[in-house]
Amino acid sequence: MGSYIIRRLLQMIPVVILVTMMVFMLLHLTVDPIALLMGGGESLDPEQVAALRAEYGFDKPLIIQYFTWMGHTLTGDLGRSHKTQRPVIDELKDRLPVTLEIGLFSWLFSIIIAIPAGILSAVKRGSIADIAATVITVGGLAVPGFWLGTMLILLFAVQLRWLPPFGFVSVFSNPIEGLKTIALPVISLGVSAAALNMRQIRSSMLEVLVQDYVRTARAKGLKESRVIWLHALKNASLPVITLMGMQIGRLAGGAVVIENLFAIPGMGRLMVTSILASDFPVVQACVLITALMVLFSNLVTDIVYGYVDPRIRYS
Amino acid sequence: MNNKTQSIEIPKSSGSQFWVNTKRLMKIPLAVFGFIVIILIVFCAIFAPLISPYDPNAQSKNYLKPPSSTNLLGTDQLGRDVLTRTIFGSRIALIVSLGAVSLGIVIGVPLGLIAGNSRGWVDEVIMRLMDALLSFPSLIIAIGLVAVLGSTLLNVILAIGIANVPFIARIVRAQALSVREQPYIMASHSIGASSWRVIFRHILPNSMAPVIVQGTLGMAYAILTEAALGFLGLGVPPPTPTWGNMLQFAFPVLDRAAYLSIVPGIAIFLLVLAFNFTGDALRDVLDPRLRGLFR
Repeated sequence: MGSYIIRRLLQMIPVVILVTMMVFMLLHLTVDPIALLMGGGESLDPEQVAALRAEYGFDKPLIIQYFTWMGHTLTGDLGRSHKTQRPVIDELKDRLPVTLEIGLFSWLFSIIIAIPAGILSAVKRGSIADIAATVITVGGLAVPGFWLGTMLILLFAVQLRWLPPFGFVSVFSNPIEGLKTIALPVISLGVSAAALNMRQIRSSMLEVLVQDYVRTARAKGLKESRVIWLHALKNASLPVITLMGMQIGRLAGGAVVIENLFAIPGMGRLMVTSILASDFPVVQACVLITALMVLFSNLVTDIVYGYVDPRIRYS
Repeated sequence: MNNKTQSIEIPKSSGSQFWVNTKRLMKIPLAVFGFIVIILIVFCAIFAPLISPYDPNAQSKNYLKPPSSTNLLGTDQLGRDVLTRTIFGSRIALIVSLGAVSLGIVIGVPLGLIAGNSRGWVDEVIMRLMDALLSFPSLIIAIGLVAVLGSTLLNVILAIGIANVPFIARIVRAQALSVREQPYIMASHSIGASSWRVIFRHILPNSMAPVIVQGTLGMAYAILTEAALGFLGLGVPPPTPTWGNMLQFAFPVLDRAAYLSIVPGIAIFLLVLAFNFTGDALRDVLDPRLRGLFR
């Protein structure tokens, strides 16, 4: 297992380097990175521009600039926000935990809904429950999360007045208020992930349930619940683990819209307000952090996968 | 439907293959539904000026009027007709998704072919690049690019299209790798066919089915991404009506004029649903083994 993890870590290095290069190049897609960094808007006189160019090292070759930027990034220096004048890293420290909390609960929501629903619809194939689950899956994959959120606000906040329409209280500081504020965002964000999981669990369970060893387990006289939860689910879970890991990225992308809809002060909202305020260093840092989070979750997924299925480790 | 497709024999002539597949597709009710919705919305997009009752940007003094006989789906804060704007919004949804998917195919297919046929370091470099691209969620790539390049129609297409490239490249490469090991490829090489001939005669046509399926499902995803960009105020800017920016504009008056938020959302939902149904059906018809290969 140890050598498998080391191998995966080594394979990740070139990808991490490429990701940092892409994020770095984002700045150089424009004709004048200075204007982008300075937030555009007011025109600077040529002397100032030249001074800034020298200060940021834009007069040096691109490769040198990349290494300088990487050096800063590795030491946690992600630049300074124009809007607040604070270091970007400090902005992120405030915002990232909020996004992680919303993401975590959405992820859990998708799993808690999908596992029982997926199993039920596979075991009772063709039943009303199966048809209902399939309809919800198909709908969940086609509905834009932010629009579902809007409709939930309309129903639960505007009409029924049960839940607040926006804002954020951490579940960890105030569980009751916290659950109330994150309920709608978590459902809006988690629904497409739940739909995907449900579909995957249903189809892998259907495949597994006709296998010989499941028939053997039944023939031995095991209880049906034991056959399903222990024998079948364990083997059906492999593709589901991959899928659940891949969803971290999907959730991170979706969180940007959901945070803006519900006015949640997370990284996604920071990203959009920074774009609208032409605060580019913050945008760049958010893109980088998101990509690194996705890479990290892929690594964890691979490790879990290797742990669950020994064949993966030795291939 | 899975059982049926497995038992059908594949006819020899490739010309009739298209019709065989079309017939099989037409036996899947959800595919028929998907086709009808797509055709209807494409029709609306093309003939928008002819079928819509008003000009999409014509303002009037009838602010926030609920649906009535003069404005079938009501009016917005500027007195613009919602039905008209929804019809015109289909143009951006279709142009952006079609553009983005085409861009993904135009860049992704050659990359996948090169990677799958060259092995060694070229393959390694291309695939690591694709891995790196895949680690950016597509909405994040889109937001990042639009932030730098500005939100014009072309940039929105570009931003969403880039996110499609790695999916296509991976599928084509996988297909190339598996086709290359087939005996008929060896036979083809042994009678003196050049690598280019093998690529264009055998590998490329064999990759088309999964690319078409991924492209169709990618349309659905691109429509959702475009709508999200529009809702964030980063898509094609107003006054051009897009479903995303209509929803953004409607949100502040949700408590007074809910229909403004309901209508464009249903339009997005229907079109995405239609592409998902069509993509799933195409996959079942073209190659049931492809199940699970797509996002």
